[in-house]
Amino acid sequence: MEAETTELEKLMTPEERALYERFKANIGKEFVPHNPHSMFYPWGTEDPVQWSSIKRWATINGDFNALWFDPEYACKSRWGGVIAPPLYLLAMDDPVAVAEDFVGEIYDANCILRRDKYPTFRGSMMANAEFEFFQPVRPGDRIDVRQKCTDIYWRQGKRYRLLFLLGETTYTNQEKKLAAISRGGAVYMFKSIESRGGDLK
Amino acid sequence: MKPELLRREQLLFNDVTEGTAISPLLKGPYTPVDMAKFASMYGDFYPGHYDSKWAVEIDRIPKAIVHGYQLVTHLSQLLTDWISPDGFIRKLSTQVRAQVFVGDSVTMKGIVQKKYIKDGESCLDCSVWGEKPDGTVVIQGTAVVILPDSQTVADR
Repeated sequence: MEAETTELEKLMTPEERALYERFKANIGKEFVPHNPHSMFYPWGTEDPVQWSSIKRWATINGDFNALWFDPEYACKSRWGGVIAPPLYLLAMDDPVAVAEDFVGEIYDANCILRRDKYPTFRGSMMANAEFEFFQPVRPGDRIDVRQKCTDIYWRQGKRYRLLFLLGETTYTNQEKKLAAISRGGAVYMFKSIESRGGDLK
Repeated sequence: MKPELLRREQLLFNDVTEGTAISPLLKGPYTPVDMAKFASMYGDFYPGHYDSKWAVEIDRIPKAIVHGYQLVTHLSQLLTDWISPDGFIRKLSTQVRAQVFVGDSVTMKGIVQKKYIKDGESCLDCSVWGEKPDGTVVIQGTAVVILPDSQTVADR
């Protein structure tokens, strides 16, 4: 696998190399994510979790578990009150967010690699996603979200050269208890070298 | 009219054996509105997720594509529907295997692989996946869930 990475590293275009080096230099650096496109947390996660946001998340996902909606029912559970569905944390951010200073420079407003800057870029997709949960999130919680890029490497796909970007996000509540950790990857697809010049329409 | 809320009688650790199937959960057909709403919460407004014209012309895929994390969210609902109210998902690990497009439906499924006690908690290892009506697996993964046993319920 390392040989594959090394081989593919040699094939990088100058702009791909700059991107790769920029991410490499960022590995392990913790940052507080900020996603202005999130309708729940456009200003970061400093505001307490709203029950209305939990209900909206659940409603939009078609998840009508009484545990998210009905205080009387939820009070009788081991949680003693309403909690959020586990994946509600995605409203705060996913495992692979990008440092804010990358937006504009590397990414467009949709957080997609800038196609004007990276002409060999074909698209991106989600790789794996893993969540470990320790505490449920409740209305009123203040969740401190921290992220870091944990690795970046190349693999050869069937059609494209694939750049894997891995990240880790921790979600800690106001009692300094770890609520969850998410780990995951995004895959950036780049044109294969053989087709360079031919495939780009 | 508001949808009826799901109120489950608690599933207990003793009710489950290795090989027990998790009650399936049907999701979809996904509409561009579902996808745009999910985009608003998750904060990913990439047009390929709700605009089929963009998907065809820019991404060169047949139609707008459902967010992978929407599928992960629906896989987590498969579990919470099954283990609520007192069960807890300890771990959920997933990989998207195939693209899901606007108009597709996906049925989330799962099966208990292993039962064990760890650190005093009654744990189940489960395989979970989502498949289209033609059987194509679009997302798959593993989960660890914790269920109460009859004693913990009696103690409360």
